[in-house]
Amino acid sequence: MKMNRQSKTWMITIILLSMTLIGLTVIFIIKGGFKGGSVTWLVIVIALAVIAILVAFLARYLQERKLRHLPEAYKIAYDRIMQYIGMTSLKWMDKQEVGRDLIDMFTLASQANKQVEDVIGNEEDVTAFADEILSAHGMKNNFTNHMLLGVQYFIIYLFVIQGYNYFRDTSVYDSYFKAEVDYTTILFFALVALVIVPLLHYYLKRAMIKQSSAAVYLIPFLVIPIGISALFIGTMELIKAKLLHIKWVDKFYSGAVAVVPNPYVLALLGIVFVGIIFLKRKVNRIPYDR
Amino acid sequence: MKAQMLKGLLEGCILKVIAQEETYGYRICEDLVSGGFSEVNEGTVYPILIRLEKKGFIASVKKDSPLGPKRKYFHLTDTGLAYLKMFSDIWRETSKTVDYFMEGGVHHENEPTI
Repeated sequence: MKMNRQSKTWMITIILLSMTLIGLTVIFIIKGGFKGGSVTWLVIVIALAVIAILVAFLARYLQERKLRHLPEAYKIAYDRIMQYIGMTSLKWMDKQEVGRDLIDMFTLASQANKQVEDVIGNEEDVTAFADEILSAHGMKNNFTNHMLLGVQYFIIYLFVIQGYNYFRDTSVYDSYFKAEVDYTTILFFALVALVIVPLLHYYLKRAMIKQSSAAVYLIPFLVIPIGISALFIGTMELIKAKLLHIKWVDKFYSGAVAVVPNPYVLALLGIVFVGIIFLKRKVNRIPYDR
Repeated sequence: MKAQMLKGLLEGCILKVIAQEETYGYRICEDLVSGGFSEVNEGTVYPILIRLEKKGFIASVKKDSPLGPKRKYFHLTDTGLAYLKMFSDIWRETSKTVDYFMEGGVHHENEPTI
């Protein structure tokens, strides 16, 4: 399957992230010692990573089939616009509709031997064109969307971390709902979800539509998470060295809690997760004027 | 400045093109270009068509196309027809007034004319 540069970068990123996830899981298991539940956890993680790669390849293959009759420049323009729009809270049906309309528009234009610049303008105009499509659908393009996405990620992380702690050693906890998570771990994942994810999402969205090189994708994926993680670790070490004499700091540093203590909280988190999908549409909506 | 002026006018012109016959986006763009809007392209027309459809001025049906996905054909709704009539009336009035000023307009005694 022939892929353009954008697709290759996207596929490499997904494979790298999957390999990183598997690598981190192996490291955690080796550090913690192989216990009964950890092999199960490793198998689950590897299976999820493989499924993610297969789904990405399949989605890409199906997209390449839809675009096979278009010249390369139009395929690249389509990719850039759809990846940009894909990272917004526009309804899935509307995104599909935009995709079909673009293919039809590009097909007719390419048959008339028009260049893609004649259809949607030059490099700067592509972003304006994508923003116009979003605005026409009544969607604003603002950072709130990325923040709300971060909250959704945080909910997923809470669920997964507790599951990891439970499966790591099933002899310690009677059930999933009794497994505890360190406060410091919760804080770390809150930082990841509410700071790193929105920043990366925002940056990636702008970088995708500007047809940047692979380095431009990889640098923020390395610099932002490593920088913020280093800051977090440094702060924790400082707290450990200087502030543990303060009662509540010590309680925070060494304490743990079951973030999902019963099925009701799990259901509530699920409702909040789904509610955010609708909230994202509401806060991003531009009212129509007639 | 031209882009700002065009934005409001294009909606009315697109509605007029659609009023004449059921048509699709690419054809609408070609009609606008051949009518004198030489700087308009498909990228300009497409978001306007989405807006007009969201406002209920036009509606679309999908029909088979020889290559690629089904093509959207637009037709005017009753709401769109009413809006088009209002646009046409406002344009006639406004263009008469603008022409008046552009061709000399109001003169005051003892003041230079441009």
